[in-house]
Amino acid sequence: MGRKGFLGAFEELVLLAVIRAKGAGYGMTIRREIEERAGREVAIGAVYATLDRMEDKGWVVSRLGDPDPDRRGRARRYFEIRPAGVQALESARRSRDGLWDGVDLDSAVEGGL
Amino acid sequence: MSPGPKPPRWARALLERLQLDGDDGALVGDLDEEYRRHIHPERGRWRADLWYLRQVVGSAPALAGRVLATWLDGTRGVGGDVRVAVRVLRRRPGFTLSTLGTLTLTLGVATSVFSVVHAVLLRPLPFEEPERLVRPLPDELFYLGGQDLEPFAEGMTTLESFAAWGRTLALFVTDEDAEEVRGARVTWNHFEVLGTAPYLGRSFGRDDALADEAIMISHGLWTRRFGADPDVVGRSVRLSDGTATVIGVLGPDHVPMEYDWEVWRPLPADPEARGGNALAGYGRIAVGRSTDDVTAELRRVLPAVWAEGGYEATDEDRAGMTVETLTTWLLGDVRVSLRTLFGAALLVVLLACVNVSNLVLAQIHEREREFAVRAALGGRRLRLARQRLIELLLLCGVGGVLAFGAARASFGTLTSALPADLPRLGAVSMSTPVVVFAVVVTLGSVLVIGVVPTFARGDRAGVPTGAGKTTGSLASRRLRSALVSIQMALAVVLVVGAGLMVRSLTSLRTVDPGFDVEGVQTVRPAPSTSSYPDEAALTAYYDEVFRSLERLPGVQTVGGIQFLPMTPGGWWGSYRPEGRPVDADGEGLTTARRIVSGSYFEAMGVDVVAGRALEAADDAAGAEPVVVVNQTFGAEAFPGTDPVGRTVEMNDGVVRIVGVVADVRQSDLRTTAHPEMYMPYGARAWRRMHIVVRSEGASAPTSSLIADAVRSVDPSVPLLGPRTLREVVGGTFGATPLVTGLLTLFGAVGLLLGAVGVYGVTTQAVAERRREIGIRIALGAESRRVASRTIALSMRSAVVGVAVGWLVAVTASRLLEGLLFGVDPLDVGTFLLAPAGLAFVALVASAVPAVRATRVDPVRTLREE
Repeated sequence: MGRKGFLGAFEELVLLAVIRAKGAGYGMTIRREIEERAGREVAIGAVYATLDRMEDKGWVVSRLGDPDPDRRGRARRYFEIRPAGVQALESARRSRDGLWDGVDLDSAVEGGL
Repeated sequence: MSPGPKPPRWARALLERLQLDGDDGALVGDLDEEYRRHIHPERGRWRADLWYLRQVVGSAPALAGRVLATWLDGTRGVGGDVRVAVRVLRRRPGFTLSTLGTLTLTLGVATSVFSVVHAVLLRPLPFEEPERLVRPLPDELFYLGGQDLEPFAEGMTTLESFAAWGRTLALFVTDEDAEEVRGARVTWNHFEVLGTAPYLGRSFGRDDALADEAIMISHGLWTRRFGADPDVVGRSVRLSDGTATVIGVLGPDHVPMEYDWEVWRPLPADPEARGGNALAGYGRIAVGRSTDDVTAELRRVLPAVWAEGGYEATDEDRAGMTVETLTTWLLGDVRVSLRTLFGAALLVVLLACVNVSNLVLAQIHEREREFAVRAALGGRRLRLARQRLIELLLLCGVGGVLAFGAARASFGTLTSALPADLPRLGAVSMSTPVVVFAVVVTLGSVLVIGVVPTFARGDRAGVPTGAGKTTGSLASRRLRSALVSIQMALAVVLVVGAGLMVRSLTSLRTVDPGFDVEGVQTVRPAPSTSSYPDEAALTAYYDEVFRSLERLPGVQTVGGIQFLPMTPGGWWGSYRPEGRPVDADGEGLTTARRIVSGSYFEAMGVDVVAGRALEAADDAAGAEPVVVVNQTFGAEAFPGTDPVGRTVEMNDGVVRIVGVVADVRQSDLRTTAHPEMYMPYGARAWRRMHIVVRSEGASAPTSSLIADAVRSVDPSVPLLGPRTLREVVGGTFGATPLVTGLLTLFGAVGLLLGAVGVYGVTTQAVAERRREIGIRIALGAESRRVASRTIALSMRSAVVGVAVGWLVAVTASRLLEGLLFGVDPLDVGTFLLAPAGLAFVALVASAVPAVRATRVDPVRTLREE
């Protein structure tokens, strides 16, 4: 799976947002989705840089829509997940689930919360 | 819908700088879209602005990091791309070698030609404000006498300053050897008017003209004769007519008024001491005056000066008084030749580029699958384009370097093929501008070659077309056909140019000069005034020289003339034929006057048409003054009647015509004869005679034997030559043989590249249609018809090209006019043969692959599919 096989935390958020948008997600909707779910302000540049990197890895694919007069003639760049992206998410989830297994947060810190 | 309020402009501009590959403004568009949602209907847009700024500030580092990463990734790829390119090129040795060969040859020739053009034409003359230097009286027929100089120079107020020169010879003598060099007697201000300083020592001063002691030498002579000794200034040298002190050495860049000058000596200030030297000159135009002003003044001043000496200028004389810039005078003839060559060389480069373009196009076609596969595997379009560009740069770069090396190596050959009187030939070198030219023309080739295939890009499928091999891409085939047309057009232009030059040279070579060139050697002694002060001494000297030469075994006849045909110099006089009244306007007829001695006509092979040649008895003191005239003279002086026996009145007496000889081309092969009158040496002794020696082919004496025979009379007399008459005549061809040779080479290259183009496009068309051809033949089509259909397709683009090229050639041939002799620029033969020849070559080039294709077994072809 390439030299950057591991999925970063932010990458995971972005990928999940792409999936939730079901192919209709473009930069701003993806950004807003993460913002709403994660509860913190997210810079659009960070989203794009991540998407662009993941496109290079073959996890997502993008296409440009039609130019929109509402956006002063700028097109929207729509993103879709690719099988490789799904695999990356799956393996990330698997390894995390493996680690979560048997972890009791209540007793994690001595003396309890 | 109106876009509404806009976010802070600078923030937006920053984001646009950091755009990602393939983003096309989507990110900025997203922010614009959302920005408006952040505008509060009551509280205004400041919150939205703040949000926008936070977004920009938060985005910038991430985007910058991504852009940088992409860029690093990209450059990391270049090394790999170069390796891939090398591998690709090595895997296709045919393509690589033919491309490299084409580029090396054409770029090399272009670079060589440019090096000459640059050295000779483009560099300004090494004078101060050379554009203000003019040469009044560029025609050799007009000159100033020694007495005329001061009145003339003072009269010409449109010239800020005027300098004059007269040719001279200097004989350097040591105890061991003697060396004769050419040079000039110059007015003391010669170098001052030019605005050039010597390399060593000083220029002439006013005092140098009072005492004949100073001498200046060229850089070449300094190196050759004085071993580049820096202490040469102040040294005394022995000359045949006394001693002189070297006061200065000129720089290697100095351009003398005549190419072979190596010494300069002062022209005496005293007009009486100048002798009969014919002076030429040049001047610096006064500020604010034009060459027209100078011409107008010249036509006023010179006749006035001549009138002082008792000569009335005719209207014809006045019309001939013109002014040329010194640059034109020094470089004039050469310019047309070099420009033509340079233009042709660039055409050849263009042709080569089109040719390579066509090859590249074929390559792309062949590699369509490779590129399609790579595109499908995620290779970005830009990246693939970069890969192709790198291949091209590599090819052209290597070609350019090889070409540069070839140009450098061919220097010696090229410069020796150029006429020796080409100014500044020694300065031809690989200077910085030549290197820059080579680089620019190489990059230009990359551009031409690289741009053309992009026109074919539109139809390239993004997916490998599996079984779709039978149909070639239509657009790419059309483009290739168009390229073939361009190649053929360029080839026609080059071949027509070459054809015209070849015909011109042929007719120049077949011109009958009026004398027999073969078997004649010529030598010119220069007896000094101190050793041979009078006519008697000169006559005795030449008589002795003739006898000495006649004694040589193999020598048949010896004669002499003061101005040998095809050499510079002339003496003119006006005359009045007997029985013709003096014209009302005082205008007489003019003739060239020649002094001949010995058996000149026999030695030169000039036919006596009527009467007799001059004889020894005519030289005797008290003999009747007789002359021989040429046919043009006879026709002009005594139209329709026999001139023999008639008399002519000259300004120095009446002479009787005893014979008529054939016309001789005197100045060069291109110029027809003027009226000429030959008088015997006894009537007027001339100091420097050209001696012509005719000998029998096999037993002809060597030139050193001839020189020895002349020296045996008086070893102190300097000699010019000996040269063969063939060399003398060949010298007047100038750059014509070289221009012809190179244009012929260019034409041949054009022909070859044109043929290769047609061959290539037909081969490809055939390969693409293999299946179709197979099916047709399997179905019983006659192979001849199949082949002729293929040929017809290829010939269509070839013929279009030939037609276009023919039209271009019709327009462009006028540029060659100045170089042509005896051939019309629209010479019917050339304009018929060249396109016909090219069309034939195209036919053969397309027939070979077309016929071969029909020989293929149809069953096998079909099975392959």
